[in-house]
Amino acid sequence: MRAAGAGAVGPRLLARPPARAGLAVAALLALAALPLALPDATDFLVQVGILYLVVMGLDVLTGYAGQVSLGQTAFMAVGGYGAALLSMRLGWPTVLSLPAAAAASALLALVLGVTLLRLRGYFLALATLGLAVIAQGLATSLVGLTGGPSGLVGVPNLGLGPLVLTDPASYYELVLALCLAGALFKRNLVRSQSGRALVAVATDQQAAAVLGVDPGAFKTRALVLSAVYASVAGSVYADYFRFFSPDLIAVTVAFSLVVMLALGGPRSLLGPLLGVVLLQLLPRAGQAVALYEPLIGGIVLVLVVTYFPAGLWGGVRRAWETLARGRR
Amino acid sequence: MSALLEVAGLVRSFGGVRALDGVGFEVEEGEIRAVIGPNGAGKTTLLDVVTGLTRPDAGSVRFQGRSILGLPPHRLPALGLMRTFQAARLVPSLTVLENVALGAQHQVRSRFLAAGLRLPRARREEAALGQRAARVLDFLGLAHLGERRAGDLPAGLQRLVEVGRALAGGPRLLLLDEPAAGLDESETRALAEMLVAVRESGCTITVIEHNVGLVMAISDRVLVLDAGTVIADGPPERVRREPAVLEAYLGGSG
Repeated sequence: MRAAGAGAVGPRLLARPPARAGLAVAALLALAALPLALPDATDFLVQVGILYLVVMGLDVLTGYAGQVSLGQTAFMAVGGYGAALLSMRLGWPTVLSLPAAAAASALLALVLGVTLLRLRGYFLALATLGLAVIAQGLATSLVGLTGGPSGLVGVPNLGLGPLVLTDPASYYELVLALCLAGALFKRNLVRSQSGRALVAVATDQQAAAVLGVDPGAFKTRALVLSAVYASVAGSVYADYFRFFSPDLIAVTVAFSLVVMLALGGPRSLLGPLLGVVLLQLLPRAGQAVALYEPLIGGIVLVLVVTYFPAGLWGGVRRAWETLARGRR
Repeated sequence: MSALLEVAGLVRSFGGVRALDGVGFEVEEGEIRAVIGPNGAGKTTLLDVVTGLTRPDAGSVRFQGRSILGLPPHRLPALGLMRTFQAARLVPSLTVLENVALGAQHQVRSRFLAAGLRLPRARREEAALGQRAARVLDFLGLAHLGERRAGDLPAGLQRLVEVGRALAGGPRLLLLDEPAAGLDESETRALAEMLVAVRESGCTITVIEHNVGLVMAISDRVLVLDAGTVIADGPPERVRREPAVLEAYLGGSG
């Protein structure tokens, strides 16, 4: 009993059965080979992966730490414009611009965390929404720097020396690697004491505090992490399309990110992916659907939050568990 | 040698009501100290002030000779001060074992980077946390519940798990807010034995309690509050004979 109990908190990740490890390798190879099987979908998959990265980070902040942010696009903007401008204006190698922009996003999040995260609930959502509005406003108005409404054109492709990523397939592999690394990091984090502390803060700040959990510090760390994920995604986006514009970081995008998380399923690894895929497929369902996308997104958000608080992935998981129990 | 906890002249008003009106007392190392009093006497407010959840209007709180007034609540566990709540405030979505592990938060050094990358130090800490939490559950006789969702347990068990969560932090002073509320007779007896065992292990206890029988059975000294003031303070056999106590508390409750 005791050994089993200790395993649940401690070394439960260490003891992965070899069969599952083999399965994981097979799945990895299949994922990596996806562009060969679906060459026409590669561009779509790259975009899905980039957004998955953002929503994954948002899940740490919103799903686990319980802090709703409508401002993740601000960090995407720092990542996109920041990395692009460092390379275009200052001639930095793209492999340096990306982490430099991520560091700037982390710093911004740190400053915001110290000030904004004192705000709770809807006030935080409002404050971060303000951040998204500011980011979009600056991107549109600082024409000399950002290219204004028509965007920044001619962003260099990501590369190191002679090795430059140009085609969608190689960007796909890069984004796949980033998503896997991001997902692994997130999974490790949320299963650790820090992950438990985040959930404790989301549940009851005061009760968490008397356990020695500093609510402000943990919320700030979650915001910083989500900012780094969003920033890296923004940088890759700019490098991939060789373009970045205010439309990509519009307030409606920030809203969509929250819808993706709520729809797919917060506090899970695959829920955010499901949400991104569904919302990215929506405009492809037809002209009419594309036109009413924000409306549909809003309705879906209300329905999901009301009837499926664990998102679609949470619903699938519960159905699966019920099924598995029935079979036994 | 000064006392482990020294509280003096605490005043705290809510609106026009003085919930605490000049409360002072000491907790000596190694004792079980009870705080009793009728509803609204100021017991929980006293606990909230000591643990930094409520700011007093006046007075002082010293722990191990050092003023802890004004320290944020999350700094206190590292000093050796942990508490429970009247109605358990566990994290319902986490398992019992995970909840107990949270109690040892102040001993954890790994932050996001170490945890996310599963650095050796983070892995060692996780393993140690798991063992520590399992030991605490063993001690409480709850080892079989480790994997259960905390929110699925009945209220009485949740309160016991919350005590375990506080114990996981290895406190020098454990502050309990009505741990016996809602427990039946045999559960209350088990709780009493557990508290005595905790004290044996070197942890001082201060317990707010309604159950006079439990208080008289296990505590070394009893503080009686009424309407925000101390009306008696001393060993249980003496306190129970004080006219003021009989009048205000024992008499009042029939």
